[in-house]
Amino acid sequence: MKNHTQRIIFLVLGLIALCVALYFIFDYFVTKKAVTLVPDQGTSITLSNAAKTKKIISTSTPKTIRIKTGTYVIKYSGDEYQNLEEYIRIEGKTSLKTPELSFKTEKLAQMLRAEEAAIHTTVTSLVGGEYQISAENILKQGEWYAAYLLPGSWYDPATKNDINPYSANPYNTKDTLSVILNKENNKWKIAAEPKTTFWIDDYPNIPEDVVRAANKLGF
Amino acid sequence: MKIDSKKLLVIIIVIAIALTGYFLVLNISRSGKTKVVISVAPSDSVVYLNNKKSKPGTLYIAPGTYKIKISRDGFKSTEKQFTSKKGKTTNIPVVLISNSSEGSAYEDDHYSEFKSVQQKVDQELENINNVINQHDPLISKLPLDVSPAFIIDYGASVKYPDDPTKIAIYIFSANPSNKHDAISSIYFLGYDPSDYEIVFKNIADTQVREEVIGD
Repeated sequence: MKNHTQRIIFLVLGLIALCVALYFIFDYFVTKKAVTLVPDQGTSITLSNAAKTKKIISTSTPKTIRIKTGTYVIKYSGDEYQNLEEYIRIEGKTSLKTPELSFKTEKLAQMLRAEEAAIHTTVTSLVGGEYQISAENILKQGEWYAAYLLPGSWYDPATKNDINPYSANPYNTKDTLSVILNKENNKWKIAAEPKTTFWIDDYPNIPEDVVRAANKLGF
Repeated sequence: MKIDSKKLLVIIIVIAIALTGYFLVLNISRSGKTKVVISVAPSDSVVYLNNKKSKPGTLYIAPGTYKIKISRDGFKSTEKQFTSKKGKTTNIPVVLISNSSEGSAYEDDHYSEFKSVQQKVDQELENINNVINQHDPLISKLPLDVSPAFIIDYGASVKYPDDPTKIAIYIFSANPSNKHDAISSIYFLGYDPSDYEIVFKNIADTQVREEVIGD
């Protein structure tokens, strides 16, 4: 009888273990999703939990992992590039490839110096002598350019800024403008005509961060 | 009482397998589907989901856009569209409006049933408002009328005039310097003007201001 009871206990425990194993197998294949990380050459991808307290993986070669559905932080980095960090929601099979990262600020400044003459010619062809470039930047990997333009009457050549930045001049009749150029086939072309402010929705062909950077130049 | 151990073992095994099977089938059948909770007053209304007869309660359906029609004798039928999103529970509370004496009598007799669903309707409206404010928190801070030189408010989108969910930020200013200051205020409030359709108007244009702001 004693042996019989022991056998029952073992069988029940075995069954419970089987159920638990089945649950974990189910959990692994159904609730965990395959995420493939594809870093570009010279870049790495780091995936952390949403609170950034636990690094899940950091890789510079393509890798596939299985993780639970949820929100994570993904960081793209590289020696030549500015880090890009964003929140992502994993809900199914996902492939994450390094997006176009921006070059580091020093490299972009160097590129601006080299391209300045060609760029200024394009900007002047748009606004003539009525506006002056108050602030400018080359963006992304050197193929985007944004400038903040002040009407000649607002422009102080010494500071390259508003002649009186702290007081609104009621006699000003011209708007401040921003402009975005794009380099295509080695030529600078207008991507967004001069405007007081750009709305992302109006420029689906310009990267969001370029539009934001262009608007921010004058502020 | 003497228990036949073999029988007991068989019963336990059968129950365990049945339970495991039940939960596995349940999870697999719900996998990739979203939860939709339909609460209706009167509770015996007929529900049609994409023209297919269904019933009030909890359903698990594939993510997507659906048309729901609810009807019952004595009440005005209602039809609406909803989108169920992956990983999110969609609540659809509906209170039908009586259009007959029979409907009114039913409503009086089932007051608590109607009250309970109406509370869910109110809760859902509050949730929608919260979502709009979270999505577009700048709106809750408007109108911004702190300077005599400009007013920032919101109104109908110029680009999408037929879509009531799309809004534009209206800047009423006296001159270009004030426009610049108004945009600066948006940054100062912690928002990026790049996210908004911004429409510039002259502050002296009272008719436009009345149309947009309503005062």
